[in-house]
Amino acid sequence: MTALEAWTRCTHVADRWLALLCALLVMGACIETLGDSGEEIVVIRDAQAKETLWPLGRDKVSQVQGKLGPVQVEVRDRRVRLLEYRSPRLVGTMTGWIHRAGQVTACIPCGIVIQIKGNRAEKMTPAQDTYDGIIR
Amino acid sequence: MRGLHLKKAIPLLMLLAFLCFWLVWKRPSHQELHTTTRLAMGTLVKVSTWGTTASEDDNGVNLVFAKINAVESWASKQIPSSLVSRINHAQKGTVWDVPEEWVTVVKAALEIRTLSDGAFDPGLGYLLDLWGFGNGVAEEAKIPETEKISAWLDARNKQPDFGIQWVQSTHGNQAIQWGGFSYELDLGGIAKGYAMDLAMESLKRSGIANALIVAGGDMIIAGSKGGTPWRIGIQHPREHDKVMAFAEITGDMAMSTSGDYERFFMANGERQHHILDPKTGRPSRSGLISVSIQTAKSIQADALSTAVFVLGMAKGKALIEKLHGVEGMLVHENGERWKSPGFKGQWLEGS
Repeated sequence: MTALEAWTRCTHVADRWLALLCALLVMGACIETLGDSGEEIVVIRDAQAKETLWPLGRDKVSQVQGKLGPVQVEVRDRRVRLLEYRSPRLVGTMTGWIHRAGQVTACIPCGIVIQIKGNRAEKMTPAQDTYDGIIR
Repeated sequence: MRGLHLKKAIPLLMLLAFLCFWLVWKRPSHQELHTTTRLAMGTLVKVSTWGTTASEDDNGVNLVFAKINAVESWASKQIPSSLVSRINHAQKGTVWDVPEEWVTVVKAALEIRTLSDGAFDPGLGYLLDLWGFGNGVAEEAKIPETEKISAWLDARNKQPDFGIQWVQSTHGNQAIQWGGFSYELDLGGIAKGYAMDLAMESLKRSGIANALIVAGGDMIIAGSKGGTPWRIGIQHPREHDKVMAFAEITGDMAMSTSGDYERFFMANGERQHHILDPKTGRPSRSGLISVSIQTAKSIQADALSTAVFVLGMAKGKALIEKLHGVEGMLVHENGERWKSPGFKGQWLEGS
């Protein structure tokens, strides 16, 4: 007799529904507590304060309209960066790849701010984050 | 025995339901930290709140940016319709009705101008434009013609007084008559600090007691993160991705840092940065490369960090020690470092 047959023999239909309900409840609680609650996203805020959302997990290169003209933004290998920017006199210096939720890259003269929002890194405890702010 | 029957399973079901509830309820509280970054006043402004719900945080963030944008709308020299722009472009000697907050900022600026013997000056608008630092997006980086700088210095030396007359307007409001012919207002060195003070006050009034606002070189703090201090890094003046010092702060405090590393260009083998010395009309050569000031109010910290930067190590230290409730951390290009005894923060090893 297989396990399935044994299970079928010693349970009513109601028992099976009950068992399924319990299993779903436990799974739901575990996912909510321990798991990732969704895909990380790239939030691009342009010069007109309009926000565009891209999934971090999908590679893409696209243009965003900035104050000084179009700016290219690249998402690759779960990282994002400003590909081209005009930043005279080192004003918009927060550039380069970012990959973790909470991180920001920006071209200040262009009026563009890119931030990763999502689950895992935002769930880090304060002690894991090195600094709450860096004064420049 | 055929099956468990639903009635008998109720305790089991209740136990499982309790387990699920407990797991969700005992979730770590780390999601109480909310962070939002946006552009405002020509820099990135990061707002963090602790112990708030998402909607409370949203509301707080909107209040912060509303306050900052409101100050920018009258204080920015880059906005043609701002009061500062209109005063700058009007005929000197015109009488202007000015709002209370304008009076607060300009009086604070002039007070620090006096305290610092002119090292901080809110009237350098023309000079900053001449150097290309007025709008931050100058295409060509070059040192202005010596004649133009000399002409400005001559005009200033003939009228060392700022030239503002505080008068009563016909409507009974505060008004000014400004005849400072060589000066053009640029409140960039103080208005951001004032905006941060207002932003934090509005957060507190909305019921958010634990918050951090960082805007470039300015920062203001309230409360803590559930008893854990806010941890602030101070950027290394020569290694862009490095922090040279850090501070762990609980409670109300403002901090401002001025350095020669954020806005500059290289010419004639020298770093031509945006902190101009009003006495030379050129980038300050005091030897200091980074100055951090801690005070209760951001408006004061913002202006004092610039003043101390221009004054240099000896005079800067003397000014900090003279002022009650003001602490400082100074770095000289020769490697010398100093911090006042009450400065909350410490150097990082190897920085």
